[in-house]
Amino acid sequence: MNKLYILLIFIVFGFSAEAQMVNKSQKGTFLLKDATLHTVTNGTIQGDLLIKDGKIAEIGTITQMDAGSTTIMCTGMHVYPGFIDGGTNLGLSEVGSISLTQDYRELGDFTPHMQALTAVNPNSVAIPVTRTNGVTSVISKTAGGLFPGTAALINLHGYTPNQMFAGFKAVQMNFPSTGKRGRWDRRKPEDIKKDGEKAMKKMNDIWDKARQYAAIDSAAKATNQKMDDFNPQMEALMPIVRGEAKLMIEVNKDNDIKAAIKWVEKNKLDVIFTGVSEGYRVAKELAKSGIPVITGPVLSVPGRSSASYDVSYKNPSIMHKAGVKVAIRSNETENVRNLPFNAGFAAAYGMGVEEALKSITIIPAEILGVSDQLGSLEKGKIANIFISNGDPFETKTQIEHLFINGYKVPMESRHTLLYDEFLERDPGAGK
Amino acid sequence: MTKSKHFKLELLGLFLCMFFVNIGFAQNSNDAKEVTNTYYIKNAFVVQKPGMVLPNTSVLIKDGLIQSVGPNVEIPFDAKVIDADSMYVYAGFIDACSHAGIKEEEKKDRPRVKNPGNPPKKLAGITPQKTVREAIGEKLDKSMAELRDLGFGFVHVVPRGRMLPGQGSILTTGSGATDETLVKENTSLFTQFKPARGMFPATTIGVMSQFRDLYKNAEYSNTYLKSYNMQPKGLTKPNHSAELGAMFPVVNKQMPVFFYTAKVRDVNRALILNNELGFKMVLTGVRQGWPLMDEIVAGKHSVVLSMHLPEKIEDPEEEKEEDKEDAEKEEKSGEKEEGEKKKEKKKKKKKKEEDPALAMMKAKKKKSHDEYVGQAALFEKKGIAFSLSSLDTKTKEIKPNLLRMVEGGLSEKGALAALTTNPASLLGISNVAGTVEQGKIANIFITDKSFFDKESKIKYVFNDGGLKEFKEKKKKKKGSKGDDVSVIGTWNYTVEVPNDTQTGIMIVDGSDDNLTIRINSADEPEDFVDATNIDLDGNNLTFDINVEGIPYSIDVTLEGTDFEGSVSVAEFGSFPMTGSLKDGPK
Amino acid sequence: MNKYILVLCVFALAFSSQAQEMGNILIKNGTVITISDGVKENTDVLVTNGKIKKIGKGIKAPENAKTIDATGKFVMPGIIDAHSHIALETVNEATNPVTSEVFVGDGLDPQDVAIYRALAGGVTISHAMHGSANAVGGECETIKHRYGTWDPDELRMQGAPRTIKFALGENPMRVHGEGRNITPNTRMGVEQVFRKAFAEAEMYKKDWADFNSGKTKTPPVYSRRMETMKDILNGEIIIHCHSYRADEILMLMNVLSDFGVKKICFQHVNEGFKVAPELAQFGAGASVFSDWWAYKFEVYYSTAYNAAILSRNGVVTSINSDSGELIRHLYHEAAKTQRYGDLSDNEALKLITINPAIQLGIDDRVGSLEVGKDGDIAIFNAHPLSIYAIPQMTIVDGVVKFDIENDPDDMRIDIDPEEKFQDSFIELDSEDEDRCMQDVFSELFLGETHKH
Repeated sequence: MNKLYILLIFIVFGFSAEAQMVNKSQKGTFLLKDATLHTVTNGTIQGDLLIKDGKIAEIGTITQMDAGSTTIMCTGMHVYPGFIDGGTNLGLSEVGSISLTQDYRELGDFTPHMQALTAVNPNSVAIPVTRTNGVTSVISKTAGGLFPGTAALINLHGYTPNQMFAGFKAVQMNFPSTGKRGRWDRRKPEDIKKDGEKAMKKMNDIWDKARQYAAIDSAAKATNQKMDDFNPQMEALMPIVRGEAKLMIEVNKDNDIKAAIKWVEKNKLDVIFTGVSEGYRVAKELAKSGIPVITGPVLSVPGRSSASYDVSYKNPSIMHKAGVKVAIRSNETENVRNLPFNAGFAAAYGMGVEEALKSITIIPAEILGVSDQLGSLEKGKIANIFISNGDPFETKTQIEHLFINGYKVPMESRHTLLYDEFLERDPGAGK
Repeated sequence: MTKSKHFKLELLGLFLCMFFVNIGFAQNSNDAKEVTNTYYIKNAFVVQKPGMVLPNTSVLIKDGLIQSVGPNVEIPFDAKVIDADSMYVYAGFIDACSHAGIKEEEKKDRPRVKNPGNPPKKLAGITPQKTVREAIGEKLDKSMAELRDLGFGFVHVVPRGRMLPGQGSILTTGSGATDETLVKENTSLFTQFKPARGMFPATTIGVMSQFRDLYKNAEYSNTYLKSYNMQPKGLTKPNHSAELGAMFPVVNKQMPVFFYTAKVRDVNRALILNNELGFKMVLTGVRQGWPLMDEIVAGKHSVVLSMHLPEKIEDPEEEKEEDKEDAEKEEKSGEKEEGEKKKEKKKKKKKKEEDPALAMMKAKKKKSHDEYVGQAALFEKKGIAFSLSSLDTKTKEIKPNLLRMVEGGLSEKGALAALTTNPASLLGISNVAGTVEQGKIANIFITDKSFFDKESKIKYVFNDGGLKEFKEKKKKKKGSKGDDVSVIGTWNYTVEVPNDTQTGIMIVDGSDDNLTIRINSADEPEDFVDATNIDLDGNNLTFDINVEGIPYSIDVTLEGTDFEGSVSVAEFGSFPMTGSLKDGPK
Repeated sequence: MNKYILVLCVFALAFSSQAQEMGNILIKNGTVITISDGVKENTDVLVTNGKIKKIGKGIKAPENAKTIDATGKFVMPGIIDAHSHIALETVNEATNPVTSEVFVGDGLDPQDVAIYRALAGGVTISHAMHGSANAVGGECETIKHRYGTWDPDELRMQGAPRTIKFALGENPMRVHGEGRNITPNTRMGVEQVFRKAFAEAEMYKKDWADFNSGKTKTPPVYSRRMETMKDILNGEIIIHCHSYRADEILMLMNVLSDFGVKKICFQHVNEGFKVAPELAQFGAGASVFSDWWAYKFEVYYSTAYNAAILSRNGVVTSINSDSGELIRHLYHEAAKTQRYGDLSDNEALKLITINPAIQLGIDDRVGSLEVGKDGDIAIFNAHPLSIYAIPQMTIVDGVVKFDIENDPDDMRIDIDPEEKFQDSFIELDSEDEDRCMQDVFSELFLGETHKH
């Protein structure tokens, strides 16, 4: 593959014969020397960056070196904060068509207590495939009914879900849709409307109960009594009702977004909208509501055949320009690696490179409440960083090095290993 | 118990009479018979053929045939004279392709077959040998009578089904048995791009392939059979496939294929097959054929347009509707808004009108709507002598849709030709139908004004030797517009049945959105039955009752203190029902 | 007046031209990526009567030619998608393991707005394919994106060779074996379905030869299915075979060798990289996804470096969409081979131009900018392999079919006058984008859909 990379492997792992067999992540102190640092929050600077104890220890011109630290010469190279994908099923699904390898969809319409983090497989083959494109953190989310479960933000490195957990969780809600469920949805418009109304009623009913539950809980605590009930669903909703936790609401159609804004305002909740594929039709209303949005995939077909071919490309930009806080997600599983390309399309179609970069770094970090830890190159933040030989949105660019939690993660995955093995097969054709 | 039984018996008796009604048009074995079958229509505007109106003309009908047409026809002594001064006489319309009289397929579970790639032909919907006689069965279907009451005298009936449902026949709209109403039998092969369910051909492309296969094999089989019949010795005995055999007249170009091609893509597919195989073809049930107009003209294809049209688009109304939907939704999702918010909403509404996506869609819809409606006019302009068909069309929409086609540019003459002379010649029955001329079958009708006058009403229908007269209904008291319809109270009702009149009382109670209805029969005034499925939509009241297992559905329209509508009873049909308020709410 | 009325007028104008019309157009001063003859700066391309007449500098516009200034823009051949299901109302006749009798060209849908969306991604030709439910599927159709017509015939690329869909592995096994207890239930069974069909076709061929020569008197049963199989044996049809695993790819090549069939392009072929030398030796093409994998077990051991490995091993390789989404940015899909395998610009662009043209047997007419070839051209504002490239104009037969400067939102042709705006939205479900198995699961398993 890349010469520099091979050289580096030699330097880092050359001492141990076993380490050569299996490339493991390495913790240490790393000095990235003479790089173009895309800090995201403080502009682009030429300089050095020191990774130590899992954190960004220093940015600027660094001359002092710890003993045992590794220097990576980055002349002509670019350093970026790791990308954050605000919506994926990564870690929860291994093979798309085999349901027994899928852990994101529990039975039932009301399962907010289902924890995505519990089922994240740290060794999912798709994880290395993802991070080698510079994606270092993702929201791993559930799917299903009205309240399908609780999503979690994970870093794409670690041996246990807890090691991967990146400090944010939220209950998800699928706002009742008045759109067709898919191309093959054969329900009549009246039935779709009826189903939507039914779901709306159910949702309001659940919410009334959740509020009541929280009130009883408060009363119980105030009088030092215990509630005589095991109700994990309601327990999961309680922090949201009390305004202590965020709710992620998936909503896409124009009128549904408007209805969701009303619903949120009425219930005075702290929410994040996800999906929002028709946000461009209600951008002003969204901006007024102040609700942040995690939108995507940008590379998707418009929801209406009457809509312009490029509305999905332009959607993030239109919302952003109207004043909405917009993060971009891939909504993918095995191809979360396409997140930077989704951002690249958004950049080309009106958002601009700078804002598009923010939409997969600092903006999702802010929306998810982890901007003190992630999303930019700043001293003290977690060292989720990658080094590339150019603009990481461009497909021509190679990602050369990757750090997650300060670990230097090998740039290999099933895809690169198969390439290495099969590019020049021996024997070739014939025996 | 006994009482309700009585109620049931009463109604049952009424239904027994119904059977007699069905056998003879406007006759009833218990009624006094018609005393003559000679009719004299006096002094009418006779629309002899499209574009030819004869004023002050009389028509003499005898034994179901038009005896003479002219200004000075003598009145025979035994004639029943109809004073048709200022009225219009038309040749009975011809429905060029219809499923009238043929029951819809019962919805069954999909049949399971062992090998869906090669299923039994019948399950796959391939029954070209099936005849209308076979398909029509017992004539209990009311659709034929409905067409007759609209002025139709003849119908080209084709069986229902899937890909190859069977062969069409031409019938009069008379109420006699099929033997009596048949004009011409097995005149067409009806074909559709309608796949089988879960077996070959399960798709339109499968149907295309299957049609080619059948056609080619019918050709080979037909040729082989001919040589076998001349000299069988030494030849393998032919395979006598019923399906292929039924297609021989088609491959011999004797029988036309009536290809059901509602939408443009089906039209194209039929044209492809026709180009390849070269059979006689009629495109039928065409709703969206204009995009391929040039090819249809170039190929000199016969066309039968459907009288189905999309819902009428009236711009301001539609907007209201969408707004209403929005408003409903907003109301449901949030709290009801007060003064200030309402103002805001009004502003919003103004904005919505400017929503370019919505506006563009609306404009395109209107354009598309106009194309559907204008199709007939366009075909006329291109010189295609098309006919019209009731396929996919609700009976009550036929006349309004014809008028919309005329509004869309079709000439009245063209419309009339499409309903009379064109189909007559298409179906090969010009010598007996299509015009008001001597010697033709006297399936004709009389209207009070020109048929194409929106207000025109049919006064008389002559059919297969019988006459049906349409009496003017009593002018209803019209509740002034805006009056709230009040249904609460005790109502007298009357149900007209052929041999009897049923009366009784209907008590409506509760509130408009939570009504209760109890109903009795005058013969057993103490015995009430409770109604179910009560629905009041505007001034339209519907409900069901069940009397010892027999379900009745009532559908009436309220007009002030009167109502009018019908009661329908499963399988027996429906009967007019009227009523008036006895006591209002206290 | 109202904006939309204006837009409508433009729309009407855009389509007032007759389809299959041949256009005259001069593209001035662009960076011309010829594919076959390098990249030429500041160069003009002249198309007359639908064909490329001249490539060079300072070409004067003929009187009847429209002139387009492409200064600062990139001009490349129209993109070709070797695997798609757009413009089709029916994809799978999934009732039999062998359905060579059907032809998706009988179910073309020229009103599919996906055609316009493909044009807006620079794609001028796509291979409208039967699905992958059956071992032997139906015949496919190579279409030109002459959007704006109602007539399916005008989409067909006249003279393009006939092609047929084959399918290996999970899909035919699941539909027929698992779904109906009919062979094939395994990859062994799939092999025998092919062997039987070809053997029967050989007998059919002989039976008809005997009848036609008068040797026998009774006509054999005419069979569209066998007619098509016979034409494959006669080398008149190119096979495009849905495949994933290395073993099944080798299997089909063996079967074809035994029956003397040579023309084949493997589709998807996710494990093609494992048998690249064998594919090259057989002369088989490979049409792959840029990066799709893991959506089912037979693509779990995949690599996005597939196209690179295949190309480097001398296999004629293309990148396809198989999706109404991906077809809108095949230029980006091809560009991914630069991240996954370091392909050069020209190598990457060949994957979506001349190589798919070779696989469809139309490389003598399209796939590169050469004098005499069809005037199918895509113009971009930046190098088409850049993530920031935006297609500006797409030309088919010298007729502008997409122009970003004249691009109304609603480009549908067939409008349902009864549809309400608020009923027209479809929630995105990535599973719905796949159409390879369309008509199968909605029919058989009601509602359940799977990818590819």
